[in-house]
Amino acid sequence: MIILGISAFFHDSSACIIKDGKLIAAVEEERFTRKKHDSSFPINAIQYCLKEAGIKGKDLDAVAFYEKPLLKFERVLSQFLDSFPKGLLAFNKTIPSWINEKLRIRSIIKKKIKFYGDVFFIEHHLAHAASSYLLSPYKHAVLLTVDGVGEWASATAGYAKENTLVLEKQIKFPHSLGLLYSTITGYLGMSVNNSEYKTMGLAAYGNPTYYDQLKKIVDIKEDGSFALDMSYFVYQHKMKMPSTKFIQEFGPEKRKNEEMTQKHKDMAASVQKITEETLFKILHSLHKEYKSDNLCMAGGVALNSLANGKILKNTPFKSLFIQPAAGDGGTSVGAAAFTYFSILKKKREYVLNDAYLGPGYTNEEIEKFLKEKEITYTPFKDKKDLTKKVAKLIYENQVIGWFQGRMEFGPRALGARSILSNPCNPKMQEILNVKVKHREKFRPFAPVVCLEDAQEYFECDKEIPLAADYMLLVYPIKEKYRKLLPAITHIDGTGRLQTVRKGQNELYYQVIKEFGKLSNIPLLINTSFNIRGEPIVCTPEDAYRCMMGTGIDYLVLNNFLIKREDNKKDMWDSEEFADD
Amino acid sequence: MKNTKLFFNGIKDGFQEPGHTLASTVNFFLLTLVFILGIGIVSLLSKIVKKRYLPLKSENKNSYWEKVDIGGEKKKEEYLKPF
Ligand SMILES: [Fe+2]
Repeated sequence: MIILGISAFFHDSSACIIKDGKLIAAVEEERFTRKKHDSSFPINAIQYCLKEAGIKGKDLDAVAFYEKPLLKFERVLSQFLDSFPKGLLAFNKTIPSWINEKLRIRSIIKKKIKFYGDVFFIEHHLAHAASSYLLSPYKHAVLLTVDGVGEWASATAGYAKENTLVLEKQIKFPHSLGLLYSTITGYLGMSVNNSEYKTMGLAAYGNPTYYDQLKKIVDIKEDGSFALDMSYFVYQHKMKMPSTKFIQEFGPEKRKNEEMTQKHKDMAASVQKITEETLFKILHSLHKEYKSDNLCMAGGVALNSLANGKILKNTPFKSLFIQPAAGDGGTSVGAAAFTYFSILKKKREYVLNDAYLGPGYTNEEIEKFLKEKEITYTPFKDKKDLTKKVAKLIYENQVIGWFQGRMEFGPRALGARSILSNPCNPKMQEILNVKVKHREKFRPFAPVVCLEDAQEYFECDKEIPLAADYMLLVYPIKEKYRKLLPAITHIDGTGRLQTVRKGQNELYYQVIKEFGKLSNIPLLINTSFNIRGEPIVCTPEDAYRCMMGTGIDYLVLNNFLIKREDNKKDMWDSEEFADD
Repeated sequence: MKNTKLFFNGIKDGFQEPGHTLASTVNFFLLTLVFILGIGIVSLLSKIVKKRYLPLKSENKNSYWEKVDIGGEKKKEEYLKPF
């Protein structure tokens, strides 16, 4: 039985395929169209998934869509009804896409993929919850989803047992922890629905001096449920977020190119504190109510790795699972998994082992590409030689574009489309920024470490949650290593680590170990293989183009090593494309 | 033949931009009309009977959680509905 999952028309459109109970492919549309957070119908992602399953659209058994569009439309209309006569511009901007796309899901599916069978519509937060629980190893768990907004809900809670998921309560739009975080992100001059992780990074530089002031506009109850004072927000009827009252009380919004001041950092720290406080309160109360030690989280707020890293220490939960695409990109998987396991009641044996669910390329395909483009390269027959060579290059402070196997699903690069470099070099952050990333100075780079070495370098939870494999937890770096690892130590002494297990990504694992033999520290910098403003690279051509347009010194395409200096052709300047 | 095709393609291309502008202008006016007549009238009537569509003002209660019944053991048909 084959189910196609689709998420589309909001942001991070994606598709996935569940075949006989196994997630065999999942990918975001942006990787093909090269348009970050692409929200269009994910036709390229679908075609890739169908190819991976070896079928055509008509051969599918069912399609699962990640929300109930009519419920969402009801909410959108309610927003306009409630705020009339305000909202004309938003109405004119929003409604055409509802008429042309969002209310015509079935006919679009018929037209674009020639599938005429059952289309299941799974509530947005149920799809979020299922994307976590049904890929987790648990047989029972507490469910918590928190995001900007789905149909009506901005947060839901409930429990799961075997194949059944039940969401029993919700926080209803316009009250939304995700939208509060986004409001502050926008207020700090960064892009909403994109740069929330930057606000999280910025928080470490600030003190939560605006906490009390922000608390006045968020009423948080003992059970963690919350309501916003909506006189501070206008997102319910405008294409912007803070109201005039908000600006009057907190001062003018930061312009995009304005310098980040201490005030901005303090705002970030304050909203982070409120987010953590709310989450921990909710989790305390849910643990008491549902009596399971396992927690499954999803939704955009579950990408808040700073809060995630503190959950097991600050709540009674003993185990935590979050899948790599915890935001809306992952809802295609949740919708398909819910359809397969919960609606069709199929046996549940699958547990997500890694995030490598996207397109991959054989050595033959890569060599063909290299020859066609007349690229100078060195092939490595022995993988050990390759990993030793790469480790040595990293040790010598070279920046490596690392392209191996199938691409990762979710927003983080996890060793399939990564840039690797030396975490021990105090100048590496600057080097990476000048050569490739052009990112804000306040943002640290993330470390990758083999699972068995993580406890040595980080103050992790005793049992490190699987979510650490997907770079979803921030932990303090042990005091004695902070000076030795300057490039990955954030100002507050933490690092957002990725753990790698031996069977997950053999070559990646070996490079880290080989680097450890040279430096005595088996850790690497792992950052996403892209330039700022572009999605992570997908194909060998994307990767080559990225290297040639930046200062990446070497590119590893599966078993082939390419030195940028050997290939001076086709240079272009990535800086002009760098965006927020 | 080729020249005729090129000529008509040229005209087509030339009209494309003003065509788009015209379509967006018509759309804008139609949507504005729908907004004023559709949303406006319903909204005004609702205001008269004091009906609110969004829970903008939350009463100060013990919990803001609202009970829902999402998921569970529902029939397959429930999920075939887009609502
Ligand atoms: Fe969501």
